[in-house]
Amino acid sequence: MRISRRSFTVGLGLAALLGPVLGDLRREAHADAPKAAARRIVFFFSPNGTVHQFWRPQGDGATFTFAPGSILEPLAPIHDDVVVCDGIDFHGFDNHEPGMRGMLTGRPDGGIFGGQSVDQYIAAKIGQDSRFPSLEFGVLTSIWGAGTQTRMSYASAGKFADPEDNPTEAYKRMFADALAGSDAAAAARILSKRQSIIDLARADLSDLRARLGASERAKVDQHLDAIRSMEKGLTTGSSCATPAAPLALSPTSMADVPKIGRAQTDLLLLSLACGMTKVASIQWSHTVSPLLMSWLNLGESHHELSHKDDSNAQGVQNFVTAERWFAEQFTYLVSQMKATPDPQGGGSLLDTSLVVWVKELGDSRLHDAKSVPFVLAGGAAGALKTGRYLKFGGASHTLFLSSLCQAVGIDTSSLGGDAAGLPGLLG
Amino acid sequence: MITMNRLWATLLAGGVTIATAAGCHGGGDDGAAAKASAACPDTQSFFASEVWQGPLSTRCIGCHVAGGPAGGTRMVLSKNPADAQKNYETVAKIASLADAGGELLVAKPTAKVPHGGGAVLQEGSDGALVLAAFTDKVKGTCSSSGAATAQLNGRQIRRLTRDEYGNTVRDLLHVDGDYASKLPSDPVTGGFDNNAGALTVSTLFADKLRTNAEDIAKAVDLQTIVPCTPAAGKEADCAATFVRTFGERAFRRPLTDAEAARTMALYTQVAAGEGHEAGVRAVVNAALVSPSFLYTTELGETKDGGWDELTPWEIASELSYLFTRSMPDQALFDAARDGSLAKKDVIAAQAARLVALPSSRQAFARFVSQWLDLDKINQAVKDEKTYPNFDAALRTDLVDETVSLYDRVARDEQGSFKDLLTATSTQVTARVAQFYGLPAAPDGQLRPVADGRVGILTHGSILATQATPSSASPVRRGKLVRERFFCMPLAPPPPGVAAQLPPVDPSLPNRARFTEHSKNPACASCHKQMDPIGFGFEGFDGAGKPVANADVSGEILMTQGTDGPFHGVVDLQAKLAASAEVQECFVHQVLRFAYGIDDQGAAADAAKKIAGAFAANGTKLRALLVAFTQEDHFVKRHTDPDVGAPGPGAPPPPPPSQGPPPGSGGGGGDAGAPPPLGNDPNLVVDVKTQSQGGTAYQDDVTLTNKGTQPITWTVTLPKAGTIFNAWNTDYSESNGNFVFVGKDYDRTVSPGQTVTFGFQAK
Repeated sequence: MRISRRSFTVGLGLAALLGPVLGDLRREAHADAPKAAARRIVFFFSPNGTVHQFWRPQGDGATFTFAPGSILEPLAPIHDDVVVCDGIDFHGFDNHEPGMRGMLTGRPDGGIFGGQSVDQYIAAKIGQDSRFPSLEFGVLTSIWGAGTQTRMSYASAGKFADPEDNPTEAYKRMFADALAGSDAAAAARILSKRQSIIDLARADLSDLRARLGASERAKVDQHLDAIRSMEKGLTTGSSCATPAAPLALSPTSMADVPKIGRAQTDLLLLSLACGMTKVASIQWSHTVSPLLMSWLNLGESHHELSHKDDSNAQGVQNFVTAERWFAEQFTYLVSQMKATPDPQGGGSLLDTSLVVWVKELGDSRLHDAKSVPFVLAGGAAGALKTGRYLKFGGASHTLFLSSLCQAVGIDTSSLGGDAAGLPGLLG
Repeated sequence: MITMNRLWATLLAGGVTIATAAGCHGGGDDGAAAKASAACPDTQSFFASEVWQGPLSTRCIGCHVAGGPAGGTRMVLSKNPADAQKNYETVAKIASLADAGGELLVAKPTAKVPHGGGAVLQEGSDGALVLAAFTDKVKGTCSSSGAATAQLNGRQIRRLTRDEYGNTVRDLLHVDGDYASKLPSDPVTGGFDNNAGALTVSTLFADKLRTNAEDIAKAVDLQTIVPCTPAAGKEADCAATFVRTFGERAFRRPLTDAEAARTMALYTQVAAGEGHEAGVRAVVNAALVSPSFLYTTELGETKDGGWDELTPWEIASELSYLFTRSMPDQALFDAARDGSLAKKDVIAAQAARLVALPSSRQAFARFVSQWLDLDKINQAVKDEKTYPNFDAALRTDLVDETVSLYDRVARDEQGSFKDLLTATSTQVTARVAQFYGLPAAPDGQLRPVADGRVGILTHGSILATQATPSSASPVRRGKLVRERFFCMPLAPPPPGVAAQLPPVDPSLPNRARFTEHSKNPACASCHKQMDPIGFGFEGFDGAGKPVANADVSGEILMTQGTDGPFHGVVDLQAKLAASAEVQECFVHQVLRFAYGIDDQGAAADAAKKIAGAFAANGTKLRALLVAFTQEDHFVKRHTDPDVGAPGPGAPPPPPPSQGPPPGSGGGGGDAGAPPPLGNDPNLVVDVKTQSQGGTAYQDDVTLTNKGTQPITWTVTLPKAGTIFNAWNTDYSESNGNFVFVGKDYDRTVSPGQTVTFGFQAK
């Protein structure tokens, strides 16, 4: 396995890698949809809410600007590609851990997708023919283990969809088959062997299940679901040449967060450009984040910075510095999508996709969930009108989640009171 | 299915927890919000399926609607299905309320507190128990029907944790390499990573497990695991032997004939294309993704009056994973094979043997690191100016000191819990010796502690973790003691509180920064449980080094029997060591770790009983660990009502070939009904029927493909009764028969393989 140890380089690589086609690119035949719909959706999470005074743009509607020094100012190059959403609240819950649980599911328990998070709900509906129904990339999400504070994605009620925190492991997962470099006959044999081994595991699980009471059967069912989800993708190829491997980085090293995040973002971009998935997410740390952003000369953890009250001007400024850095990472992701053509045509990846910056709290100091800051980016293949700053006066974020589903072409009429989505969001 | 005893015990345990935590939550809504933050993942689905379908929509809604007799109370429900979410939120809020009479949601309808409608539910009735269970869930006590639970005396499967997986791979296959860290992180429940209810397999986990298995199968040196070097033509025999002998070690029990057959089919398929060695590696690969490898089972086989007795093989795994976090060794396997491990005295002897092995240290390390939160030391940021050179090597060595103390005390037959808190000796590396100001000595040599460092709570590993980057943290140290020594978890700060500390003022003692916590009544109710304890630690700074002339006066408040002032950490530890409730809390911690279960309800009762013996026996540690192997839970579990044979008194099951029992009602089923039909002559259909009491029965069907081509199967059975539960199959009715086909994952049976499905009907 000849892997060059160069790291990904900013701005290069993606277009070049879209050259030769390896294996099948299974294109989803798009039925003539009556409405425009994004082909893919990307979630970007950063923790601990915001300080609205430094987050809110100036202006309104299509006429808005980012104030100098404000948290969103780094978004200036993508001003016309974003929708900044103010006044979307979590209804009925707040604080760190409920916020983390309810952010993508709709409520801390259950929620509007029966316990699934919106990314997994969407993946179940549009991602089933992809190599990966969804891909979850993490940046230092797991130093506290897996838990309701450190996980945002739920495959089903109470069951996490774990992110991969190690770029090298994510890379191997995406490109292992290509890296094995075998010929067609060998590849077929490997596939057949894999399938037989999976069948064996399934038979064992089936036998085990028959011996279990109701509560334990749920575990085996989840295991069976996981196998099926993994199995489907084993036969789907990639349209890309294999890129260089990322640098070897420790998934628990705070000081390396910029490098880890960049490597994970680049892999995420590749997964979209290579048609490996339609639903991807990048989760930067988690709520109550202990992240020490030493590369910004910040001496306190992100959580501590998020709790500086207005009388501590320097403290709040430090928090703004941290938040601006996340805004830069969001801008990088969106800009790269803008610079990469969609291999299926129709413009850039950004034109045909939807990117969502999510957070789990409103005001970080108060732990409340009023005006939880959401930012959208991307044309969603015509489903989203961008370049706007919208105010929703306290609407429930469940309507927002429903609109995200609509933006990717999902029928939301089964979502009860949230079926209509958030009026005015998609434009 | 909710059983009365389990719920009632849960309610009682829940009641104790509430009394302790009640002071923490300010008024009304803030309290409710803080409590709701602890609610369980299945709270809402439980509400919809049990609470609403049960007592609410049948008893309560008569009055508790707008315009009804209870229309002006706090609980106003709506019959409109579109208001389902509102109803849930209304009732969840009520569930978070309690007064002197008890928790309102149960106390009102049972008239334990004044209720306009009087006693509409009897105490202990199903409806009351459902409301009690819902109340528990809202408060975060997450034992429930439906979702995977981890209960005392419950039949369960336990997925290996990452470190157990890594140790097992190493011991089974003698391969180097860190395969464990490639798996996603384990969830932490109650402080520990091995809760059987929480450990599941996500898509990412399944994918990493698969790629690990492929890599390990490639890397393994077959000479170390294959017992035969076959001559040409004898390879299949060697493989068959390997499948059984390796399989027994990988699955930690003998393989069934069906398992051996399908594994040999895999070998044959791979060996045909790639040769014997590739076939053997495929067998290794398959074993490493099998649930029989990935989970230990605590299910039992032999029935005994409402209990299923765990097999000696299952007991061997219980012992080995508890004491070594890895698979059984040869001696344990032998004791399983000859059946002696079913006996409690043999179990105790094996436990003592395992404790004495070097490998037990990895289990002690996992326990103490999780119990005392030492895992967090690597993320404890230290300001370089305030605490220079607090590097990775020092952190590792500090944790080793604490592990060594626990290890030493646990191995010593006389070693006790009290010894942990009063230890006057330690084993450290040169790095830690220098850190503590101890004279040089060989690494790990047992020697007296430094001045003022008597007992585990003076270890740098704890003091430095429970701190901020540039100061000690009385709050964190107090919280650690409150949660890990008194088992009193604390809720997060309520919303609306601006939780910023004033900056460090070098002219004031650290404790002056925290006066708001005690002055402000909204803070005090929780913080007086932590800060006064933490102030007693002010003799140690944020790196764990001594602070001269510090005020180390502290106080324990709001406990059941350990309240009182103390002076410094050594004095605190003396009080903790002597405290019955602290000893009982420690037993709870060990129970969670040992059994992988939630320590509520019946488990709390068991812990109380074990704690009594623990205290009477001078809190000896090793005896405590062995005591856990002597409980009923370690050797048997309650029979599950919805699986397996009936208990005593129920009619015996009919012989399998006859189909459903007489009197099963519905259409067709007479004696002499035609035998079950598969849709292919090569499809062997085996039906096992069991009575479930009354007219209810269960059929377990095993299909085997005796041919050479895959079969997409259909099975037809005479209709008897109505099916109310089925698994691994989609069924329909036609011409007086049930017709079964597979789900998309078991629609087809491969040659030589089996598919199983089943159903219940009455």
